[in-house]
Amino acid sequence: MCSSKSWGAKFDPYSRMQIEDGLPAEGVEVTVRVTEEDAAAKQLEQAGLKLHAQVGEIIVGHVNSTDLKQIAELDCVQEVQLSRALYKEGSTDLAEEG
Amino acid sequence: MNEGKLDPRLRFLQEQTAEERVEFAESVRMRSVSTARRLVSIDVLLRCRKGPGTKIASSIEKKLTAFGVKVRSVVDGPEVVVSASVPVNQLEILLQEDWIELIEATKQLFPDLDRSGIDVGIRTLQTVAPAVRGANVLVGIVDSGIDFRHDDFRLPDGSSRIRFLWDQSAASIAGGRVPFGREFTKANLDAALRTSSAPVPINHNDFLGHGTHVAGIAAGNGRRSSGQFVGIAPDAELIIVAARSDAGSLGESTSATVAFRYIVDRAAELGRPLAINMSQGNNGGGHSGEMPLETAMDNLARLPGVVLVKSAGNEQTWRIHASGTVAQGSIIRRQFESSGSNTQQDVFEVWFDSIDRIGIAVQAAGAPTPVSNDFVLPGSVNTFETSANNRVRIDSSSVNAGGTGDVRAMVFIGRGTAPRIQPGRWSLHFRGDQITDGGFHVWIERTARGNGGAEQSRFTTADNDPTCTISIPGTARRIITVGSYVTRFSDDAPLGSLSGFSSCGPTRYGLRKPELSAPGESIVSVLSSGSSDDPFAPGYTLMPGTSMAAPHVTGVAALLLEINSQFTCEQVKQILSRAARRDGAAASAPDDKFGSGRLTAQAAVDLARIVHFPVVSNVTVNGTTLSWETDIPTTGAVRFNSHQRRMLLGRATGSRVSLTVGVRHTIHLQELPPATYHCEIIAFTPAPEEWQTLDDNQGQHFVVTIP
Repeated sequence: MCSSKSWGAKFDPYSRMQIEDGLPAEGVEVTVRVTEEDAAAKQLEQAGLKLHAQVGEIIVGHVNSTDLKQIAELDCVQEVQLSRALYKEGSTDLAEEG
Repeated sequence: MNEGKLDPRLRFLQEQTAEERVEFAESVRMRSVSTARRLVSIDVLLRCRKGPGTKIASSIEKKLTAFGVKVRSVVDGPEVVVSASVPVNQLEILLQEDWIELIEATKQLFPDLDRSGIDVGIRTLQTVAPAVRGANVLVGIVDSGIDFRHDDFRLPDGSSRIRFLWDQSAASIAGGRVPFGREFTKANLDAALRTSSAPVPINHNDFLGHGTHVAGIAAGNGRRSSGQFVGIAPDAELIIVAARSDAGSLGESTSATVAFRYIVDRAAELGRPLAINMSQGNNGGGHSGEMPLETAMDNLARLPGVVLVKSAGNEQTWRIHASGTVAQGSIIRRQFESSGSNTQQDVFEVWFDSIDRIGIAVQAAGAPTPVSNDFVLPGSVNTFETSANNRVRIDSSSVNAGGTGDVRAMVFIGRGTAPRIQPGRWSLHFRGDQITDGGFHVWIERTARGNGGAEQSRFTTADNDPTCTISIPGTARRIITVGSYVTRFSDDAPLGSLSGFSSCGPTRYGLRKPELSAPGESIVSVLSSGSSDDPFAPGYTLMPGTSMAAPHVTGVAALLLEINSQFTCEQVKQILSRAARRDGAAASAPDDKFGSGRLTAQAAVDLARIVHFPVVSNVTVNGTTLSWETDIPTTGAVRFNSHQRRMLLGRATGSRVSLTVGVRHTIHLQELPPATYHCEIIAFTPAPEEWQTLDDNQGQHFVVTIP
């Protein structure tokens, strides 16, 4: 199955802004949603992704910033997201103040 | 002989050293607790028998006073109940008196794990044969780490109960089995516990304290407190992933996905069932399970013997969500307030159906109302500076976000060249250019709260919508999401009521969340020696939050997996939901606040022992007809949607039902409008049980094409 999206359209708006603002030289961790579970990991690795884990159609890995476009251009890639911070849900964040 | 007379909480206190008692007394800050001369007194209720020659209650008061007891009130009756302050070192002497039948701690002192355990009905399960304590089950925790040296995570011989610990921020080693960070095995941990010069030094500790507390609730064995603060599944073993954390955030979406994969793989190596807890989240996404992390969790939740539990979030009162319906040709606005303390960035997520064409504009505080050209339409992006030099970017170019068929627009408000985001009342404007549905939702991404962190903006009270505030990834369809209720006496939060902070459902697609609620306000559990939290009692600390509610459910899920190691997450969800209490403040449940009700462990275990979920097999699609078989007599239904991702996320648009009880079912869909339909099958055991099995062909659905 081919993805007809342009590579930029495969990023969410948050990731797009991060890219435009400039990514760290050491690279970034990304989550990729793929359309071909069995074959996609190999294609991603060949495009420069250092694979960390795969859970079905979701693949996570580290990529050099310069390889990000190449990753997103793959036909098997449906969606790419840069990492988003998570926050603990206890103690200090219980309720608004004032 | 006197064992049963003394409240176990007092036994715990009695066994502490003089210094620990003082520490405890200071930590609870009760005015009735005296620390003078390092002698701790504590408020108690005494139940006394009127013995021969003791005709009036006042004589009991005199006798108690002689023991150094400060009597506050006496209630006379067949038995005499005395409220008093007792020096802890006098408890043992009082126990020798046969006319004293019971000494119980004043409840307000103990908003604790012991109390919440009693509330959910866990203590009988743990102590009465056949006891259920999580034996041969693994509990996985993805959090800030663990104080692995704490007694509550060690066996009686002092060795570790942790099978694997992956510290994601530790320096990695060549040849390690993890992609980054460092993995420690039980052998490594045992060696480090035995000697400070172990071959594999382990510098890990939990400096945030959050993960240790969570792990203690789910599976602490109470060893440090002689069983006083025991967790829900004290015989389970642990797999811990310590996420990279700082004073603000706790891990990231990417490393959490890798953590789940890791835990499931290690559990498979050990051949054990597994309940995983996650007590962190954010507001970034469409709140219907469409984020990649949520997809990953849903995929893992399909595996037999794997249960994933997530805290609902504490977002209810943070005014992070607004919604509305915009009509064709009209403009509506949603206002938000910037406090002026945000020196970084506000991020807004706007989601609506791509059948609509909705324009979005931003009006800064004090700025004129947006004009036509200010609106950003789907497929486009605009960036501008406000008069206060803040930078605003509206990106509406994701018109089929993650394959959902929805528009995902984001609005970024950065400080730009100004020192901070301009304080005051801002507005988001929504213009209906081409409307079929018109509904939209907006969420404000959260920031690190407390510790002087940058404060996010909030919707005005008038525009705030407290529904749909479950944090991500808690909106994943197949996992179990947990709200919080109160198990502590408090002036403004009645016992059993929903915690004011507990996030509410449903998902944006209307699925009920949370699944159920558990004690989360407030809980005493294990204190990490690496954290700066104040002790509540030696080795234990107090924390509130849905973070604390979730591990109660994780622990009970571990108990159910002890009974049947092949239960799926969906099956555990059904059992917990069926067993949940719907009384008192939760009488309106099932709803989008409590979910199915309050966690009830005993009833869940009882159901787990007798339940038989139907097994669906031999599913065939023949033209426009779906057929299947079940191992026991059932009724059945087919749910369908012409959009695969929406079907996966639970936005079902139609169904057909087979009410005939049998083991073979056939449902015809030929009367549907021409389209390709993605279908899932649900088999129900006959009423009144109606246990369900959902078969969606491992997420691929059964595809029926109507020509």
